[in-house]
Amino acid sequence: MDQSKGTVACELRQVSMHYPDGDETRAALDAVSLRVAVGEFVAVMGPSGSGKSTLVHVLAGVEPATAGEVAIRGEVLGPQDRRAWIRARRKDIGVVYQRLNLLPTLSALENVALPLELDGFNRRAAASMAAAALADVGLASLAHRRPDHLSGGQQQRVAVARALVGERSLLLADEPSGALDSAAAEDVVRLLADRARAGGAVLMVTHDSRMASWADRIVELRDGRLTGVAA
Amino acid sequence: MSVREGLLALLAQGPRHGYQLKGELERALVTGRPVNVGQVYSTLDRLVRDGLVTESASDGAAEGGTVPRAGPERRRRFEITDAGRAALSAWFAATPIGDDATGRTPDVARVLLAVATGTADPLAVVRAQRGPVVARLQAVRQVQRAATDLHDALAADADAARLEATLAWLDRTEERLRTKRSR
Ligand SMILES: Nc1ncnc2c1ncn2[C@@H]1O[C@H](COP(=O)(O)OP(=O)(O)OP(=O)(O)O)[C@@H](O)[C@H]1O
Ligand SMILES: [Mg+2]
Repeated sequence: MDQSKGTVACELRQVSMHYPDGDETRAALDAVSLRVAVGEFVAVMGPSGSGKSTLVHVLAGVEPATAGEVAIRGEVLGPQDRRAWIRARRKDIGVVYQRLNLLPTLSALENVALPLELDGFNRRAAASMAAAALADVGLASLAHRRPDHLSGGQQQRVAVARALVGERSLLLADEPSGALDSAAAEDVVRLLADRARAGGAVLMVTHDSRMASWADRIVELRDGRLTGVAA
Repeated sequence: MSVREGLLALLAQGPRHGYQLKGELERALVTGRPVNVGQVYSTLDRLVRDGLVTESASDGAAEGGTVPRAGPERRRRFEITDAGRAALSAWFAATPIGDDATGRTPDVARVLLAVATGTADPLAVVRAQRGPVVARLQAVRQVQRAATDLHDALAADADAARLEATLAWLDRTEERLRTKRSR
Protein backbone atom coordinates (compact mmCIF):
# COMPACT_ATOMS: atom_id res chain seq x y z
CA MET A 1 0.00 0.00 0.00
CA ASP A 2 0.91 3.65 -0.24
CA GLN A 3 3.89 4.37 2.01
CA SER A 4 3.62 8.14 1.85
CA LYS A 5 1.81 9.24 5.01
CA GLY A 6 0.39 12.70 4.68
CA THR A 7 -0.72 12.03 1.12
CA VAL A 8 -4.38 12.81 0.66
CA ALA A 9 -6.54 9.72 0.14
CA CYS A 10 -9.74 11.61 -0.46
CA GLU A 11 -10.88 15.17 -0.28
CA LEU A 12 -14.06 17.21 -0.35
CA ARG A 13 -13.68 20.84 -1.40
CA GLN A 14 -16.60 23.11 -0.56
CA VAL A 15 -19.04 20.33 -1.28
CA SER A 16 -22.75 21.07 -1.01
CA MET A 17 -25.68 18.78 -1.50
CA HIS A 18 -29.14 20.21 -1.94
CA TYR A 19 -32.25 18.07 -1.96
CA PRO A 20 -35.53 19.43 -3.26
CA ASP A 21 -37.90 20.11 -0.39
CA GLY A 22 -41.27 21.29 -1.71
CA ASP A 23 -40.62 24.45 -3.70
CA GLU A 24 -37.34 25.03 -1.96
CA THR A 25 -34.15 23.05 -1.57
CA ARG A 26 -32.62 21.82 1.62
CA ALA A 27 -28.88 21.57 2.17
CA ALA A 28 -27.90 18.12 3.46
CA LEU A 29 -24.28 19.25 3.07
CA ASP A 30 -23.28 22.90 3.13
CA ALA A 31 -19.83 23.83 1.79
CA VAL A 32 -18.07 20.92 3.48
CA SER A 33 -14.31 20.63 3.10
CA LEU A 34 -12.56 17.58 4.48
CA ARG A 35 -9.39 15.64 3.79
CA VAL A 36 -8.51 12.14 4.87
CA ALA A 37 -4.81 11.36 4.64
CA VAL A 38 -3.32 8.00 3.74
CA GLY A 39 -2.95 6.04 6.97
CA GLU A 40 -5.50 8.17 8.78
CA PHE A 41 -8.63 7.05 10.59
CA VAL A 42 -11.25 9.81 10.75
CA ALA A 43 -14.56 9.52 12.56
CA VAL A 44 -17.53 11.65 11.53
CA MET A 45 -20.05 12.29 14.25
CA GLY A 46 -23.27 14.25 14.35
CA PRO A 47 -26.95 13.92 15.18
CA SER A 48 -29.46 12.11 13.01
CA GLY A 49 -30.14 14.01 9.80
CA SER A 50 -26.94 16.05 10.00
CA GLY A 51 -25.69 14.79 6.63
CA LYS A 52 -23.34 11.94 7.58
CA SER A 53 -24.68 9.37 5.13
CA THR A 54 -24.90 12.03 2.44
CA LEU A 55 -21.21 12.73 2.97
CA VAL A 56 -20.38 9.04 2.55
CA HIS A 57 -22.51 8.80 -0.59
CA VAL A 58 -20.81 11.82 -2.13
CA LEU A 59 -17.35 10.45 -1.28
CA ALA A 60 -18.28 7.09 -2.77
CA GLY A 61 -19.62 8.76 -5.91
CA VAL A 62 -23.05 7.19 -5.59
CA GLU A 63 -24.74 10.59 -5.20
CA PRO A 64 -23.35 13.51 -7.16
CA ALA A 65 -22.76 16.68 -5.13
CA THR A 66 -24.68 19.73 -6.30
CA ALA A 67 -21.60 21.95 -5.82
CA GLY A 68 -17.93 21.59 -4.99
CA GLU A 69 -15.28 19.04 -5.86
CA VAL A 70 -14.55 15.49 -4.79
CA ALA A 71 -11.06 14.09 -5.28
CA ILE A 72 -10.00 10.47 -4.81
CA ARG A 73 -6.24 9.96 -4.56
CA GLY A 74 -5.74 13.43 -5.97
CA GLU A 75 -7.97 12.91 -8.98
CA VAL A 76 -11.07 15.11 -9.17
CA LEU A 77 -14.08 13.03 -10.11
CA GLY A 78 -17.23 14.84 -11.21
CA PRO A 79 -20.81 13.65 -11.68
CA GLN A 80 -20.15 13.03 -15.36
CA ASP A 81 -17.24 10.67 -14.65
CA ARG A 82 -19.45 7.66 -14.11
CA ARG A 83 -16.97 5.13 -15.40
CA ALA A 84 -14.17 6.55 -13.30
CA TRP A 85 -16.36 6.32 -10.22
CA ILE A 86 -17.28 2.73 -10.95
CA ARG A 87 -13.62 1.93 -11.43
CA ALA A 88 -12.74 3.74 -8.19
CA ARG A 89 -15.35 1.79 -6.24
CA ARG A 90 -13.94 -1.43 -7.68
CA LYS A 91 -10.29 -0.73 -7.06
CA ASP A 92 -9.90 2.04 -4.50
CA ILE A 93 -12.97 2.46 -2.33
CA GLY A 94 -14.66 0.00 -0.01
CA VAL A 95 -18.02 1.11 1.37
CA VAL A 96 -20.14 -0.12 4.26
CA TYR A 97 -23.54 1.41 3.58
CA GLN A 98 -25.80 2.24 6.49
CA ARG A 99 -28.48 0.14 4.78
CA LEU A 100 -25.86 -2.53 4.03
CA ASN A 101 -27.04 -3.16 0.41
CA LEU A 102 -26.23 -6.87 0.46
CA LEU A 103 -27.50 -8.84 -2.51
CA PRO A 104 -30.26 -11.07 -1.17
CA THR A 105 -29.81 -13.92 -3.64
CA LEU A 106 -26.10 -14.40 -2.92
CA SER A 107 -24.51 -16.11 0.06
CA ALA A 108 -22.38 -14.10 2.51
CA LEU A 109 -19.29 -15.45 0.78
CA GLU A 110 -20.57 -14.56 -2.69
CA ASN A 111 -21.50 -11.06 -1.52
CA VAL A 112 -17.97 -10.49 -0.22
CA ALA A 113 -16.32 -12.09 -3.27
CA LEU A 114 -18.35 -10.09 -5.80
CA PRO A 115 -16.32 -6.85 -5.77
CA LEU A 116 -13.15 -8.92 -6.23
CA GLU A 117 -14.58 -10.77 -9.20
CA LEU A 118 -15.70 -7.48 -10.72
CA ASP A 119 -12.14 -6.30 -10.23
CA GLY A 120 -10.85 -9.24 -12.27
CA PHE A 121 -9.86 -11.80 -9.65
CA ASN A 122 -10.69 -15.34 -10.67
CA ARG A 123 -13.46 -17.12 -8.80
CA ARG A 124 -11.26 -19.29 -6.70
CA ALA A 125 -8.93 -16.49 -5.54
CA ALA A 126 -11.90 -14.23 -4.83
CA ALA A 127 -13.59 -16.97 -2.78
CA SER A 128 -10.53 -17.63 -0.66
CA MET A 129 -9.96 -13.90 0.00
CA ALA A 130 -13.64 -13.52 0.85
CA ALA A 131 -13.48 -16.46 3.24
CA ALA A 132 -10.53 -14.85 5.02
CA ALA A 133 -12.37 -11.52 5.30
CA LEU A 134 -15.42 -13.26 6.75
CA ALA A 135 -13.18 -15.03 9.24
CA ASP A 136 -11.78 -11.63 10.27
CA VAL A 137 -15.26 -10.49 11.25
CA GLY A 138 -16.02 -13.77 13.02
CA LEU A 139 -18.36 -15.24 10.41
CA ALA A 140 -16.30 -18.11 9.00
CA SER A 141 -18.94 -20.66 9.89
CA LEU A 142 -21.82 -18.72 8.33
CA ALA A 143 -20.18 -17.99 4.97
CA HIS A 144 -22.72 -19.97 2.98
CA ARG A 145 -25.84 -18.43 4.46
CA ARG A 146 -27.89 -15.93 2.55
CA PRO A 147 -28.42 -12.51 4.18
CA ASP A 148 -32.04 -13.22 5.05
CA HIS A 149 -30.86 -16.18 7.13
CA LEU A 150 -28.44 -14.03 9.12
CA SER A 151 -29.13 -11.75 12.09
CA GLY A 152 -28.92 -7.97 11.67
CA GLY A 153 -25.52 -7.86 13.33
CA GLN A 154 -24.24 -10.76 11.21
CA GLN A 155 -25.42 -9.02 8.03
CA GLN A 156 -23.62 -5.89 9.17
CA ARG A 157 -20.39 -7.85 9.58
CA VAL A 158 -20.79 -9.30 6.06
CA ALA A 159 -21.01 -5.73 4.78
CA VAL A 160 -17.86 -4.84 6.71
CA ALA A 161 -16.05 -7.86 5.27
CA ARG A 162 -17.12 -6.85 1.76
CA ALA A 163 -15.66 -3.38 2.27
CA LEU A 164 -12.43 -4.69 3.84
CA VAL A 165 -11.68 -7.35 1.28
CA GLY A 166 -9.03 -6.66 -1.35
CA GLU A 167 -7.34 -3.95 0.69
CA ARG A 168 -8.76 -1.03 -1.21
CA SER A 169 -7.01 2.16 -0.20
CA LEU A 170 -10.06 4.06 1.06
CA LEU A 171 -12.63 2.61 3.41
CA LEU A 172 -15.93 4.41 4.02
CA ALA A 173 -18.05 2.93 6.79
CA ASP A 174 -21.47 4.35 7.66
CA GLU A 175 -22.46 3.28 11.19
CA PRO A 176 -20.68 -0.07 10.76
CA SER A 177 -21.52 -1.13 14.30
CA GLY A 178 -25.10 0.09 14.60
CA ALA A 179 -26.55 -3.41 14.96
CA LEU A 180 -23.69 -4.91 16.98
CA ASP A 181 -23.24 -5.54 20.67
CA SER A 182 -20.34 -3.75 22.30
CA ALA A 183 -17.83 -6.60 21.95
CA ALA A 184 -18.59 -7.13 18.26
CA ALA A 185 -18.57 -3.35 17.71
CA GLU A 186 -15.13 -3.16 19.23
CA ASP A 187 -13.92 -6.00 16.99
CA VAL A 188 -15.13 -4.13 13.91
CA VAL A 189 -13.69 -0.77 14.87
CA ARG A 190 -10.36 -2.41 15.68
CA LEU A 191 -10.33 -3.88 12.17
CA LEU A 192 -10.86 -0.39 10.77
CA ALA A 193 -8.12 1.05 12.97
CA ASP A 194 -5.78 -1.75 11.87
CA ARG A 195 -6.54 -0.99 8.24
CA ALA A 196 -5.55 2.65 8.77
CA ARG A 197 -2.42 1.57 10.65
CA ALA A 198 -1.51 -0.63 7.68
CA GLY A 199 -1.65 2.39 5.37
CA GLY A 200 -5.28 2.52 4.33
CA ALA A 201 -7.45 5.59 4.83
CA VAL A 202 -10.62 5.13 6.83
CA LEU A 203 -13.65 7.34 7.28
CA MET A 204 -16.19 6.02 9.74
CA VAL A 205 -19.57 7.56 10.48
CA THR A 206 -20.89 7.01 13.97
CA HIS A 207 -23.18 8.74 16.43
CA ASP A 208 -21.40 6.97 19.29
CA SER A 209 -18.40 8.74 20.77
CA ARG A 210 -17.17 5.47 22.27
CA MET A 211 -16.69 4.16 18.73
CA ALA A 212 -15.31 7.46 17.50
CA SER A 213 -12.62 7.41 20.17
CA TRP A 214 -10.80 4.70 18.20
CA ALA A 215 -10.16 7.21 15.41
CA ASP A 216 -7.13 9.46 15.04
CA ARG A 217 -9.35 12.45 14.42
CA ILE A 218 -13.00 13.19 15.06
CA VAL A 219 -15.01 15.73 13.08
CA GLU A 220 -18.58 16.74 13.66
CA LEU A 221 -21.42 17.52 11.27
CA ARG A 222 -24.34 19.70 12.32
CA ASP A 223 -27.08 20.63 9.87
CA GLY A 224 -24.80 19.78 6.96
CA ARG A 225 -21.93 21.89 8.21
CA LEU A 226 -18.65 20.62 9.48
CA THR A 227 -18.44 22.29 12.87
CA GLY A 228 -14.81 21.42 13.23
CA VAL A 229 -12.99 19.01 15.37
CA ALA A 230 -14.84 17.33 18.21
CA ALA A 231 -11.68 16.01 19.84
CA MET B 1 -19.51 16.61 45.97
CA SER B 2 -18.76 20.09 44.59
CA VAL B 3 -20.24 21.89 47.61
CA ARG B 4 -18.19 24.96 46.82
CA GLU B 5 -19.40 25.27 43.22
CA GLY B 6 -22.91 24.28 44.23
CA LEU B 7 -23.05 27.19 46.68
CA LEU B 8 -21.66 29.58 44.09
CA ALA B 9 -24.18 28.43 41.49
CA LEU B 10 -27.09 28.89 43.90
CA LEU B 11 -25.85 32.31 44.97
CA ALA B 12 -25.45 33.27 41.32
CA GLN B 13 -29.24 32.97 41.08
CA GLY B 14 -29.62 35.49 43.88
CA PRO B 15 -28.69 36.18 47.52
CA ARG B 16 -29.58 33.48 50.01
CA HIS B 17 -29.67 32.87 53.71
CA GLY B 18 -27.38 30.20 55.02
CA TYR B 19 -30.28 28.04 56.16
CA GLN B 20 -31.77 27.97 52.65
CA LEU B 21 -28.57 26.84 51.03
CA LYS B 22 -28.27 23.42 52.60
CA GLY B 23 -31.64 22.15 51.30
CA GLU B 24 -31.24 23.78 47.90
CA LEU B 25 -27.80 22.28 47.55
CA GLU B 26 -29.12 18.80 48.34
CA ARG B 27 -31.81 19.20 45.66
CA ALA B 28 -29.54 20.78 43.05
CA LEU B 29 -26.84 18.15 43.37
CA VAL B 30 -29.28 15.28 44.05
CA THR B 31 -26.99 14.17 46.84
CA GLY B 32 -29.30 11.44 48.07
CA ARG B 33 -28.26 12.11 51.66
CA PRO B 34 -28.09 15.19 53.85
CA VAL B 35 -25.25 17.60 53.33
CA ASN B 36 -23.48 18.47 56.56
CA VAL B 37 -24.56 21.92 57.75
CA GLY B 38 -21.13 22.54 59.20
CA GLN B 39 -19.59 21.87 55.80
CA VAL B 40 -21.96 24.38 54.20
CA TYR B 41 -20.97 27.13 56.63
CA SER B 42 -17.27 26.35 56.60
CA THR B 43 -17.34 26.42 52.80
CA LEU B 44 -19.23 29.73 52.87
CA ASP B 45 -16.64 31.11 55.29
CA ARG B 46 -13.86 30.13 52.89
CA LEU B 47 -15.73 31.67 49.95
CA VAL B 48 -16.12 34.91 51.94
CA ARG B 49 -12.46 34.84 52.93
CA ASP B 50 -11.48 34.38 49.25
CA GLY B 51 -13.68 37.29 48.15
CA LEU B 52 -16.02 35.13 46.04
CA VAL B 53 -19.00 35.73 48.31
CA THR B 54 -19.92 38.60 50.65
CA GLU B 55 -21.91 38.36 53.80
CA SER B 56 -24.52 40.84 54.84
CA ALA B 57 -26.18 40.74 58.23
CA SER B 58 -29.93 40.46 57.92
CA ASP B 59 -32.74 39.74 60.31
CA GLY B 60 -34.66 37.96 57.61
CA ALA B 61 -37.91 39.76 58.35
CA ALA B 62 -37.57 41.69 55.12
CA GLU B 63 -37.71 38.41 53.21
CA GLY B 64 -41.11 37.52 54.53
CA GLY B 65 -40.15 36.45 58.01
CA THR B 66 -39.59 32.84 57.11
CA VAL B 67 -36.35 32.67 59.02
CA PRO B 68 -36.48 29.97 61.67
CA ARG B 69 -35.95 31.30 65.16
CA ALA B 70 -32.63 29.70 65.63
CA GLY B 71 -29.06 30.70 66.31
CA PRO B 72 -27.43 33.67 64.65
CA GLU B 73 -25.73 31.36 62.11
CA ARG B 74 -29.05 30.88 60.41
CA ARG B 75 -29.64 34.57 59.87
CA ARG B 76 -26.47 35.05 57.89
CA ARG B 77 -27.16 36.20 54.35
CA PHE B 78 -24.79 35.65 51.45
CA GLU B 79 -24.30 37.24 48.06
CA ILE B 80 -22.00 36.30 45.19
CA THR B 81 -19.32 38.78 44.05
CA ASP B 82 -18.07 39.42 40.52
CA ALA B 83 -15.02 37.36 41.40
CA GLY B 84 -17.37 34.58 42.52
CA ARG B 85 -19.23 34.67 39.20
CA ALA B 86 -15.94 34.54 37.35
CA ALA B 87 -14.79 31.55 39.42
CA LEU B 88 -18.09 29.78 38.71
CA SER B 89 -17.86 30.37 34.95
CA ALA B 90 -14.31 29.10 35.00
CA TRP B 91 -15.43 25.94 36.79
CA PHE B 92 -18.22 25.31 34.29
CA ALA B 93 -15.71 25.70 31.48
CA ALA B 94 -12.96 23.67 33.18
CA THR B 95 -12.28 20.11 32.22
CA PRO B 96 -10.66 17.94 34.88
CA ILE B 97 -11.98 14.40 35.10
CA GLY B 98 -11.81 12.63 38.43
CA ASP B 99 -14.01 11.12 41.06
CA ASP B 100 -15.50 13.10 43.88
CA ALA B 101 -17.17 12.05 47.13
CA THR B 102 -20.44 11.04 45.46
CA GLY B 103 -18.49 8.64 43.26
CA ARG B 104 -19.61 10.76 40.32
CA THR B 105 -17.29 12.73 38.16
CA PRO B 106 -17.39 16.53 38.42
CA ASP B 107 -18.90 16.46 34.92
CA VAL B 108 -22.10 15.21 36.49
CA ALA B 109 -22.12 17.99 39.08
CA ARG B 110 -21.62 20.58 36.35
CA VAL B 111 -24.58 19.38 34.35
CA LEU B 112 -26.83 19.02 37.40
CA LEU B 113 -25.96 22.50 38.63
CA ALA B 114 -26.38 24.03 35.18
CA VAL B 115 -29.84 22.49 34.88
CA ALA B 116 -30.85 23.25 38.48
CA THR B 117 -29.70 26.87 38.60
CA GLY B 118 -29.65 28.03 34.99
CA THR B 119 -26.30 29.67 35.65
CA ALA B 120 -24.73 27.97 32.62
CA ASP B 121 -26.16 26.51 29.39
CA PRO B 122 -26.46 22.76 30.11
CA LEU B 123 -26.03 21.77 26.47
CA ALA B 124 -22.86 23.83 26.22
CA VAL B 125 -21.60 22.26 29.44
CA VAL B 126 -22.26 18.76 28.08
CA ARG B 127 -20.51 19.50 24.80
CA ALA B 128 -17.55 21.09 26.53
CA GLN B 129 -17.17 18.04 28.76
CA ARG B 130 -17.28 15.54 25.94
CA GLY B 131 -14.17 16.71 24.10
CA PRO B 132 -11.69 16.09 26.92
CA VAL B 133 -13.29 12.77 27.85
CA VAL B 134 -13.04 11.59 24.24
CA ALA B 135 -9.44 12.81 24.11
CA ARG B 136 -8.65 10.80 27.25
CA LEU B 137 -10.37 7.76 25.78
CA GLN B 138 -8.43 8.18 22.53
CA ALA B 139 -5.23 7.99 24.60
CA VAL B 140 -6.47 4.87 26.41
CA ARG B 141 -7.33 3.32 23.02
CA GLN B 142 -3.67 3.59 22.08
CA VAL B 143 -2.78 1.70 25.25
CA GLN B 144 -5.48 -0.89 24.51
CA ARG B 145 -4.12 -1.35 21.01
CA ALA B 146 -0.55 -1.62 22.22
CA ALA B 147 -1.31 -4.06 25.06
CA THR B 148 0.60 -7.27 24.49
CA ASP B 149 -0.33 -9.19 27.61
CA LEU B 150 -3.57 -9.89 29.42
CA HIS B 151 -2.65 -7.87 32.51
CA ASP B 152 -2.06 -4.66 30.53
CA ALA B 153 -5.14 -5.27 28.44
CA LEU B 154 -7.33 -5.66 31.55
CA ALA B 155 -6.02 -2.45 33.11
CA ALA B 156 -6.58 -0.50 29.91
CA ASP B 157 -10.06 -2.01 29.53
CA ALA B 158 -10.93 -0.81 33.03
CA ASP B 159 -9.85 2.76 32.24
CA ALA B 160 -11.72 2.63 28.95
CA ALA B 161 -14.89 1.30 30.56
CA ARG B 162 -15.03 4.18 33.05
CA LEU B 163 -14.55 6.78 30.34
CA GLU B 164 -17.07 5.02 28.09
CA ALA B 165 -19.64 5.15 30.88
CA THR B 166 -19.10 8.89 31.20
CA LEU B 167 -19.46 9.30 27.43
CA ALA B 168 -22.59 7.20 27.28
CA TRP B 169 -24.05 9.43 29.94
CA LEU B 170 -22.99 12.63 28.15
CA ASP B 171 -24.51 11.37 24.88
CA ARG B 172 -27.71 10.44 26.66
CA THR B 173 -27.80 13.80 28.43
CA GLU B 174 -27.33 15.74 25.22
CA GLU B 175 -30.14 13.76 23.65
CA ARG B 176 -32.42 14.50 26.60
CA LEU B 177 -31.53 18.17 26.69
CA ARG B 178 -32.12 18.55 22.96
CA THR B 179 -35.48 16.82 23.09
CA LYS B 180 -36.33 18.18 26.57
CA ARG B 181 -37.54 14.73 27.51
CA SER B 182 -37.34 13.41 31.04
CA ARG B 183 -38.06 9.81 30.01
N1 LIG C 1 -32.79 11.29 -1.17
C1 LIG C 1 -33.11 12.31 -0.39
N2 LIG C 1 -34.03 13.24 -0.72
C2 LIG C 1 -34.35 14.26 0.07
N3 LIG C 1 -33.77 14.49 1.27
C3 LIG C 1 -32.83 13.62 1.67
C4 LIG C 1 -32.45 12.49 0.88
N4 LIG C 1 -31.49 11.81 1.56
C5 LIG C 1 -31.30 12.47 2.71
N5 LIG C 1 -32.09 13.56 2.78
C6 LIG C 1 -32.11 14.56 3.87
O1 LIG C 1 -30.80 15.06 4.04
C7 LIG C 1 -30.49 15.23 5.42
C8 LIG C 1 -29.25 14.43 5.77
O2 LIG C 1 -29.53 13.04 5.66
P1 LIG C 1 -28.45 11.93 6.00
O3 LIG C 1 -29.03 10.61 5.62
O4 LIG C 1 -27.16 12.30 5.38
O5 LIG C 1 -28.35 12.08 7.59
P2 LIG C 1 -27.47 11.23 8.63
O6 LIG C 1 -26.61 12.19 9.36
O7 LIG C 1 -26.83 10.08 7.96
O8 LIG C 1 -28.60 10.72 9.65
P3 LIG C 1 -28.70 9.29 10.45
O9 LIG C 1 -27.81 9.43 11.65
O10 LIG C 1 -30.13 9.26 10.86
O11 LIG C 1 -28.32 8.18 9.52
C9 LIG C 1 -31.73 14.80 6.17
O12 LIG C 1 -32.46 15.94 6.49
C10 LIG C 1 -32.48 13.94 5.19
O13 LIG C 1 -33.86 14.02 5.41
MG1 LIG D 1 -27.07 8.08 8.06
